[in-house]
Amino acid sequence: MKLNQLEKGQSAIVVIVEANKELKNRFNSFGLVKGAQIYIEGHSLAKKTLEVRINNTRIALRASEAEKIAIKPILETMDKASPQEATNLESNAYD
Amino acid sequence: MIKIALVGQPNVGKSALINSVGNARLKVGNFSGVTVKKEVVRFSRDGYDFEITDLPGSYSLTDYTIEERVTKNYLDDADYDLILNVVDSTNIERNLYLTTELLALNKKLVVALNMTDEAIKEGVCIDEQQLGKLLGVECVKTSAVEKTGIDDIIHAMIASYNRKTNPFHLQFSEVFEEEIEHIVSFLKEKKVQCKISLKALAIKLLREDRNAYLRFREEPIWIELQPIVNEGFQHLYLHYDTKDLDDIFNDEKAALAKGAVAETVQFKKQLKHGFTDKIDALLMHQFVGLPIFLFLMWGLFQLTFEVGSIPMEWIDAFFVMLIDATKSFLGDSEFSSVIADGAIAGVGAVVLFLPNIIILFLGIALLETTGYMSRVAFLLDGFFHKFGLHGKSFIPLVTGFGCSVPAYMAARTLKNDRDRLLTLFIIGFMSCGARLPIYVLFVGAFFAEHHAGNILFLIYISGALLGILVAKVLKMTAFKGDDEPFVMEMPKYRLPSLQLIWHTVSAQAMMYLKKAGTFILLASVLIWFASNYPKQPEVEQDYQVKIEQASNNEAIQALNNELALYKLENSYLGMIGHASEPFFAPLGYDWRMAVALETGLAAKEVVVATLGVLYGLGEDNTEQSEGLVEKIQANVSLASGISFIVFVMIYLPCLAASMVFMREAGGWKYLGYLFVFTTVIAWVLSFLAFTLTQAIT
Repeated sequence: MKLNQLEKGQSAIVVIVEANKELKNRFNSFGLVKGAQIYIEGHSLAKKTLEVRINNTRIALRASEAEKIAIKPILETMDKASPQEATNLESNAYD
Repeated sequence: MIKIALVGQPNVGKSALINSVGNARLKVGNFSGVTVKKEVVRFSRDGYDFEITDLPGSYSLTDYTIEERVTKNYLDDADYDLILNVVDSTNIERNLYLTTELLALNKKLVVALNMTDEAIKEGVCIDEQQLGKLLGVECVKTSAVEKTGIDDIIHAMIASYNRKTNPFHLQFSEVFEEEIEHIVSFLKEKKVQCKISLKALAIKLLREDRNAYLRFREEPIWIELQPIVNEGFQHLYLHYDTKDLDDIFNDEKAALAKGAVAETVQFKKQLKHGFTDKIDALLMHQFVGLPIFLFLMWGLFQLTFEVGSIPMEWIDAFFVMLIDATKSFLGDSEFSSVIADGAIAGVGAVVLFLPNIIILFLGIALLETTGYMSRVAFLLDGFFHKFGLHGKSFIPLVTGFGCSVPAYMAARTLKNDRDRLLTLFIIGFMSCGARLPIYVLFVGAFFAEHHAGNILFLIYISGALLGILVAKVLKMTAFKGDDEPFVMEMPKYRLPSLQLIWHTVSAQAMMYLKKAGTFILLASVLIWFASNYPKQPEVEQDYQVKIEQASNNEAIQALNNELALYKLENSYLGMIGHASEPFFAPLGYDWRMAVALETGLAAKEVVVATLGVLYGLGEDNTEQSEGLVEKIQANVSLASGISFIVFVMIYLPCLAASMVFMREAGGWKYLGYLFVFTTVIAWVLSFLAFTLTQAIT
């Protein structure tokens, strides 16, 4: 599954980033790496642009870039989880 | 002198910290890419002279964008004593990625854990002593906003500067250290001399750093070194199960940062994003987000006109009074005229618009410092993308509403050269603050006051839309090519302090006034001379005789006006105006407006100054001077006025901006293109505007 297929409010784990070197480095420096937990904050009209959150960093990216990020959604029950629950899960990631 | 390189990720408060440490006044905002070129600040503390170079923010030491290249090149080549690495305490893990890269440079390093105030609020507790030990460098907690830790950071820098040795502290994983050690011991045996430490050099080799390879390529040692490095690569590939060195290094960095955070940072509260979340739910809503943005912009222009016009009347009255007082005090002489009709009228016409400028800059400052700017870039990216622009282009474009000069520089955040050139070409369509006076003047002269704010908004919006349309055309013709990816950090919302807003706006206002007092003053006097010379003694004598022979006052007045007009039309300025009149005639301008546009090539403020001087001179001297708005109403038709506004919206920006454009675009050639391109569009659209308005009215 790709990042651009997620809905607003869903969380996922990054499986692999399949971008060219430059873009990959950029993603990396934002903390968007293999194994990172990612949360969909929202999207613009027609899902052209997405806003995602990793740890404490919010990033905007286009759907065409999100397509290059393979993810594994976190638990089916998380689908409708509130942002608060998702953040709880995220802060646990530090432990 | 301690030379310091200030480095950090974007938007961690580097410039704000220098402002606190060195009492500087660097530009501060809440989005990535505020500082795009290096700025140097010098100051003295505790008997030491400091020279801090504020480098553009970089997520990592790559050359992804021009600004990041500036930082990387400076760190690699420039002469500096130590690096001050500013870190956002609330986002420490990600920030430590860069810190590990800096450690690999093996320079003296001090880490400022900035934004301590926010970290405390968010329950982030950092053990800076422990972190310092782990990284092998001094870490100091600071807050640029609350000005805490400023003395500590100075002391830490002095202590680090005086330290003789510089141990290498960066510890990679065992596998990695082993390969580094192989290369280092070989380099040691061969007694290789290097500016940086051998370990740093070995790391560069393993990272496939181009410059490190260039250094060895032509030396005999390369033959022996190559297999060793190659063997290192093979081991790494095997261990990490990938041939992508970037991946390997990124893994190392991430592991280091994660390890350091796990050992030294406690998160006492759960991460909450309540404030930012709530605002974003509204401002970044997929349907209402854009309308809200447009409404805010509309409100800004309403305010600019409505509130701005109140003190404007007083300023106008003041200068009219000053002109009359000067004339009656100095009598009717050449000197009196150059002061009153030249200097005061010209400068007055520019100062008149100070209130509007202040409101506009206040709006832009709020946009820049709250964090809203990046949100709008997000909202507009889809729309912009359709027209071949990049969401990030929004930042230089909106800066262009203030002044084109920083806007051209802000375009450096765009990575792709084609995207950057495209953005550079359309920045001029975003009407800058200096064009505002011209609009306020003409809109005030031709439209009812309650419409004025709307018209002003319309001018700015249609300018912007036109720019976007032009971008589409350029993208399809001159700047064909692939799109740059859009990946951008959304900063947290921050309420800017009153002090910060005051600094930003007052600095802009002072700059505007300073320009009025120097450049505009000079230009006004020049324009006065060019409009009063050469003298026409014979013609004047002729009229003198006619006036003496005239029977009544009306005839004398008529003759006086005739004389004044004759003199003006035959002055140097008149000649220039008449020479260019055929070019401007189809647009409905008289020669005065033509001259005003031409002087506007120097600076847009000069346009109103010129109109002030030119329409001031032609009037009857015996009566009270009128305000500039009335003069425009009396001399310019509605169609010509609208056509004039359109021309001003589009044509070439001022001299200073043109020079910056040339530098950023990369040559005279581009300035030539820009001149032809803007003039043609301006002429055609003004012609249409003039003809249409005439047909309707």
